[in-house]
Amino acid sequence: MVQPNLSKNVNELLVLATLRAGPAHGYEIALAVERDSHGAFAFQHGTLYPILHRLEKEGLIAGGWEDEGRRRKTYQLTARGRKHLDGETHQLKQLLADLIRVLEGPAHAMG
Amino acid sequence: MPWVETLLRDANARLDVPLRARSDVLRELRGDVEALVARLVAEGVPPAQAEARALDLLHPGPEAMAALAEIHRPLSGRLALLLGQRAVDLLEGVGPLVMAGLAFSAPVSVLLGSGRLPFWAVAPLAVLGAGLVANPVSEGLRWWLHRGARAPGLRLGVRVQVGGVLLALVWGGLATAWSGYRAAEGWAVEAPTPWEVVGHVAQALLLVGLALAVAVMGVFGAVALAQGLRVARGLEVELDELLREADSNDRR
Repeated sequence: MVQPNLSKNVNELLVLATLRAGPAHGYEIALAVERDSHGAFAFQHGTLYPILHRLEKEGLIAGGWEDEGRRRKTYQLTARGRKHLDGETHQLKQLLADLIRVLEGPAHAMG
Repeated sequence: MPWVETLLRDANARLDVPLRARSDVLRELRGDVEALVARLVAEGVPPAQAEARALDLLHPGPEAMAALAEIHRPLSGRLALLLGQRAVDLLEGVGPLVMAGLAFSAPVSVLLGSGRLPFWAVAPLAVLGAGLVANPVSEGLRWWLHRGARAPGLRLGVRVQVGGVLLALVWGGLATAWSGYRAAEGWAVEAPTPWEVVGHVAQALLLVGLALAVAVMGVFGAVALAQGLRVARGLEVELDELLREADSNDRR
């Protein structure tokens, strides 16, 4: 079954996947997603923050202040987040394979 | 270069989240914006372009603001969505008073039922006691529902609590003195038996004890409210400093 809110899930997965490389600040995550997807995905107008805060609330990432003055917030992937990312990636792969099979049509599949 | 200040003040005005979360969101936003601009400028991007890029990427638009408000919505907001705002207001206003009244009605009924204490002396202490319990409970409930409370409300709560404590002590003293005076008047006409004297001393001690118990409870409430006030004030000062800091950074 197609997931009802695919774009929201994809944004969350992009953040989680970026954090797999190591802890990062919010702006670094935004830049990395844009760079690694060659501009196909980009966070604009602060849409990254609700995603980060939701993931933090769900325990998939952990946020912490870098210094005592609490000037910079850093996020890192939690073990739960890693597991979630692996599971969702697997599902998404399956979904995309199904989608491509449909798009290419039965003739292509038979040929 | 007033853009960081403008950015933070604008976000502060539009962000509908509790104080703690508000301070954290603004702090995070400022840190990210400043770091991104510094990085872009270091990479050779002209400052004006770097700022425009940072604003475009990070400045929360209406969609992000709404999503942040939803994520950080306190319990009061969720209950209001579920039951309606009037129900939440009623819960906040009447709930603690009803609870305190019920909690007090039992021991006061026992004391009055024993016939040892006069109603006129006990009833005001009972009302005061209920009020002194209801006041901090009400603020505590508000804190829990809204994930924080405003300093002016808590400051008023502390003052009410201290006033209530003083009133309980004064009333206890006056009631005991009046009761003693009335007894002495009677004893002037007819000498009391030793048991009458003992009974009256016991009544006076009970009355003083009741007033002290109400006052001590009030003091506990005042301490709790003062602690809440300290936390709330700290958060408000933190937010003010954050905005002022942005202001002074911009002026530099």
